[in-house]
Amino acid sequence: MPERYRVPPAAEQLEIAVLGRGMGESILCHIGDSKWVIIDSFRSSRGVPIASEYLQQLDGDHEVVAVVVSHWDDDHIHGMGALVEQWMPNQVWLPTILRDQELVAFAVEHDEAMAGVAPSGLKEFLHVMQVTKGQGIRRWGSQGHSIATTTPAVMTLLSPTHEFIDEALTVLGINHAPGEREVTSVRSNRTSIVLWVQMGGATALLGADLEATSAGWSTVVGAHDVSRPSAGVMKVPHHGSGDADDQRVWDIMVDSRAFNVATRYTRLKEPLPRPDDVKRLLDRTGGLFVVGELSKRLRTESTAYDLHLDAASTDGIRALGQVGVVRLRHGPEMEWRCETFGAVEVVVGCGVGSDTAPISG
Amino acid sequence: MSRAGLLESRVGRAVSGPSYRELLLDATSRHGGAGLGNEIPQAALLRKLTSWFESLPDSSIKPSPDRRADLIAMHRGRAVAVEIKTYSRDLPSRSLIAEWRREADLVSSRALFERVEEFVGRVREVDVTARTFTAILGGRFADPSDEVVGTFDRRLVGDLAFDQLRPGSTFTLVTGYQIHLDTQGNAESSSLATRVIMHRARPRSRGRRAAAARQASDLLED
Repeated sequence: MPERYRVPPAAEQLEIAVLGRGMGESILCHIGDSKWVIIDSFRSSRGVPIASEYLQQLDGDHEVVAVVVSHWDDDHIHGMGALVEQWMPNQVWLPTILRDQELVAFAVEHDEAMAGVAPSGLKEFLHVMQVTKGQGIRRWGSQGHSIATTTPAVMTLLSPTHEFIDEALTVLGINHAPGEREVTSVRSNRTSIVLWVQMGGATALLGADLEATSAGWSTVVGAHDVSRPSAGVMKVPHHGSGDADDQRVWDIMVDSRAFNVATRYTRLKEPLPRPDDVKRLLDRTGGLFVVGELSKRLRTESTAYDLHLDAASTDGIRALGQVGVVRLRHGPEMEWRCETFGAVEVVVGCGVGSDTAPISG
Repeated sequence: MSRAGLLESRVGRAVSGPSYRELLLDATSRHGGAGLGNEIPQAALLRKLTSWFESLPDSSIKPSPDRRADLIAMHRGRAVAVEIKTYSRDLPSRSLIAEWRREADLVSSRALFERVEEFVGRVREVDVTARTFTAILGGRFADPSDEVVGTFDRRLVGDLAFDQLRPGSTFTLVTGYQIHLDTQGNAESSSLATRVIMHRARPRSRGRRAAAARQASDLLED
C-alpha cells in the first residue's frame, strides 16, 4: 500500500472513510483521539471484515467505540459478527425495528430452512445477536437517538423514522414461510439507520440505503433542523439509485460543494449507480465518487476535487483488488481533504468549472 | 485425441489445473456476468480450456488445432477431467453410457444428464418484458464475495416456473453433459446443458415454530 494510506488522522480530526467493493459497503468515522465508529461491514478478499483491515493498516492504536448495523442487507452486514467480536465496542446499534420477537423467530427458522443454500444477512444478524447477548451493549436505534462518543463529535440518528416503525413489519416483506425463498430485504432499505455526523465545523450525512418514501427521506427532510450547517460530505443513499433520490435532501441538507460518495452495487443486471443515476447525481452535485469495482462506462477525471491522485493510486489498486476507499478528513485548521485508494472513480459532470470549486484546504 | 486418451482423461485420472467452477467464474467475469450458462460463457470456457490444455505437459490430450472442438467438463468428486468432443464417431460406448447411467443424477428415458457442477441461485430481478431473470450464483456455503451475477432466459426454467419467479426465489442450477439416446440406448448426440431446479419451502411444525420463538426470546434478552 502507498505510505500515505497508513497515516492515521490527527487526534482532533474528523475522518469519514467510505469503503466499497461492488457488493459491500463499510464506513469508518474517526471521531477524535483514535476513537472510531464503524457503520456496516463487508469482508475483504482475505475474509476479514474490511473495517478491521483498514484500522490494522493505519499506524498507531485505535479503539472502536461503536458499531452501527444500518440494516441487514447482505452488502452491509457481512462480517459484522466477527467485527463486533474483535473490537467489542461498548455500543452496537441496530434498527429498532429488528427488536421484534416475531421477526427474530422468523430469522431463526429461516436460517435453519435456508442452511447451506445462501449466505444471508439474516444469518449475520443472528450472529450479531449472539455475540452481543448479555453484554449490555445493544442499542436499538431510531430517529432522534445519539451515539455516545466521549469526544466533541455528535452522531445523531435521523432514521428509521417513527412513521416507518409503525408500519415496518408489514412492509418488510416477511410474509412467507421460512425457507420458501431468500429474504432479499428489498424493503429493508426502509429500516436503514441514517446518521448525521458533526464535529467542529465539519458535518457529514451518511445516507445508508434509505429510500425516498413518505416515511423515509421525506420525513427525514421534514424533521431537519435548517439551522444546522449543511453537510460537507454525503454518503449517497442506496448506491445512487433513483429510488433513494429526494431533491430536497440536496437542497436543504447537503452543501452544493460537498464531497459525494456512492458505493457501487453489482448484483443487478445493470449495476448501481446506473448511467442515468450518475447523470442525475451530477445534475445535483457536479461531482461524485463511485467506490468499488471499477466500471469502464463512467468517465473518470480528477479536476473538480482536491485529490491526491498520483502513481500511488496504482499501487492501491493492486493491493486492494476491487476495494475502493475514499478518505475525507477535516480538522480545526483544515477544510475537507480527500484521498482515494484503489477502485474509485471520480465522475465529473460536463461543464464543471470554477463556479463549482471543491471544498479544499 | 485418441479414444483411449479421451476415456482416460474422462474417467479415471485426476487432472490438475483450475476447477470447472474456477473456469466458469473466470469466463463469466470476463463477460460482465451476463449470460452465464448460455452461449457466451461456453465459448469463453472453450477458449480458456483450450489454452489450459495447451499449457499441459502431456501432449496426448491436446486438441488438434484443425479440429472443430466442443467442450465437456466432467466432475468426478474433487477431480476435474476434461473431454473434447469432436465427431459423432467419438460418442460414448454403450458400456460407458451404462456407467454414466449408474452415476447420473438425473435420468430420463431418452437422455442422460451427467451432473458437472451446481450452483445455488437467488433471483434478484425478473424482467417480464424481456422474459429474463437476473440471479446471484454461488456455491453452497459460499463467501458472498465469491458470487457471480447471471442473467438467464425464461426458457431455462419454463414458462410456468418463470411466472412464479420473484426476487428472492432460490434454485439450484445444474450444468452438465446431456446425452440423447436412441431406442437401443446408443448415444445420438450430446451437448452441454443447464437445468434449474426451483426450491420449495419445507413444512413447518408447530414444535419447530415454538422452538424458534423460544430461541428468539432468548436472543433478545440482554
